[in-house]
Amino acid sequence: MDALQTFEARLAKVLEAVLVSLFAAFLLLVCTIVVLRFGFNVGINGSDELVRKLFLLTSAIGGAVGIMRHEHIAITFFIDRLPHAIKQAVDVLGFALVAWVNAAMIWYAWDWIALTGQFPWQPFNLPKFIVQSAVPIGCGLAVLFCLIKIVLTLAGRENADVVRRPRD
Amino acid sequence: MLILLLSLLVLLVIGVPIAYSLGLSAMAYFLIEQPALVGILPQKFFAGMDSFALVSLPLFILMGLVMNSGGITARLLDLSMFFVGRFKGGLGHVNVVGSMIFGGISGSSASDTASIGSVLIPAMEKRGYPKRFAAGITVASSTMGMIIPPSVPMIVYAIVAQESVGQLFLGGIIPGVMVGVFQLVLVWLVAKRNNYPTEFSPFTFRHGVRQLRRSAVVAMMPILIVCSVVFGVASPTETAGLAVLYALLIGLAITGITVLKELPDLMRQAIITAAKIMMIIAFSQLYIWVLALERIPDQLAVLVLGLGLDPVSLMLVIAALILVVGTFIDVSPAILLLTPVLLPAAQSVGISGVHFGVVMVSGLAVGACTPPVGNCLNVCAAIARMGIGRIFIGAAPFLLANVVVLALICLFPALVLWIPNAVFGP
Repeated sequence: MDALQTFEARLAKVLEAVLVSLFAAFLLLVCTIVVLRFGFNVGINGSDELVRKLFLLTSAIGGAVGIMRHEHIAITFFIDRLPHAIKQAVDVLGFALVAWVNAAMIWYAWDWIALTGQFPWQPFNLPKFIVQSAVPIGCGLAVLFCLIKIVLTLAGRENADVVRRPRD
Repeated sequence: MLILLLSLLVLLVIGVPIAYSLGLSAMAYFLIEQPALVGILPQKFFAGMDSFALVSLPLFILMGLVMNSGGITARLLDLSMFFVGRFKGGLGHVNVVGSMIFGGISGSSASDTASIGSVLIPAMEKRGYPKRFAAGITVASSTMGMIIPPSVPMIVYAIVAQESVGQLFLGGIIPGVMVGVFQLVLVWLVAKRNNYPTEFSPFTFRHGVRQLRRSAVVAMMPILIVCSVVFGVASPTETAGLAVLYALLIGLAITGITVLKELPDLMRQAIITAAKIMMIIAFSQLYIWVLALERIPDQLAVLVLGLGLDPVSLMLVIAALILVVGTFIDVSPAILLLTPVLLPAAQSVGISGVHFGVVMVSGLAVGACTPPVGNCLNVCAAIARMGIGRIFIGAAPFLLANVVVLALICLFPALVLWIPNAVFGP
């Protein structure tokens, strides 16, 4: 279990470094677009498209990291009031459902990418599957984190108390 | 349709994240009712996130975080102290005025609660204010962060409703300022009754110039952002990018290299916060598609027309619904869930999308301060080390100001539409 926890933490760290790098890339690109347009009356062909797709990939990976960090917006008011054992079971069920919906997205994305992935991604003239793969990458990471969470929760290594706040 | 609603409700109650609850319930609907269309879901999911305007979300969030870590809170509070510190209950007034200015900079109520609360709640406690009052006014005044431009929830609404970000920003100015003025009056009344202290702050020309010189570059930020978006100098996303650079320069000038050292962590926070919203936006596209297939917005519009409600009555009914929903669901998901259903009905009786959006954000801002899921309450609970129940009791009288303003903007749409109409034309 220690190895699994270490793996989870390390993977999250690597992914966060990727997220920050991608964010820095599209932030720089956005600022460069404005400076070039106002300063030199020049535009970069396809820059908006590239920014959009970088952000899309960032969001897909960020969504998966959000699962690992328990940071997704959820209504925990009702489950917070359940006894610990039931809460743990509900937590496992929740992760299983999230894993299932992400796995289904990968399954159906496969057909979509197989069908349209060879078409050119304009204006770069690259195959479209390069950007479409953001869906299976993000959903795949989400499935992986959900499975790790399920194992850790069942082993008692994951605290089911998502929200801890002072009582009145 | 019943499958969608029931499964969504059950999933939300058992604590499944809102984004995935939307995805799961929509997936269940398609597998049972429309299996032939299920293969298109990844395409819809992808298209939901593929927008240049959405890129402004992490940029505006990062701008707020950089400004916050750049040591601007103290300067803004000094400026607020100069204007209102000498009145009865001075620190309460400083809290409200500080939130008005800070809300315009951060665009988020939660960051407003965190930054102002961490400075002012302990300071107010030291000066003899009850902790419940200090925490309550901090939470209630932070609602202006969503209403006064720039506002992250308004950007989310603009994208879902296909409305102009500039018009929404302008529409939020009068309601936001009204909330602040009403809260100042309430603070004064409470302070007078309880004999709360005043603060020493020389109200002289020289001191005023000094404070303005210290804070002008910071306080100018919301004005520059709104002008850039409204007058089309740059798109909202480009404006947000420039605002991040501006915030970094201010941070460098005030704190030196510290802000750069913190930048990777701030970027991590900003992108994960934006990714949470993006996941909800992406999965809500599936839910919106179900609504469209079932023609729910059209049916609701026909129903509303059949009821013969005038726009004001309908807007009041919608505002009441928003207040109830806001109590249970966070701001961005509530916007994504309610807008596709309610906006067509509202537009069918002639309500403008900008008016509807400002009413929605103003109503949901109250929900951010009410138990059980109030985001600002949770942030404040962590800072003040108090239960959310006690904080809510402290905030309730001041939230009345929000409810009154919400009713007024429903009754008098001109309070929202006057500035956008004056700038963009009716």
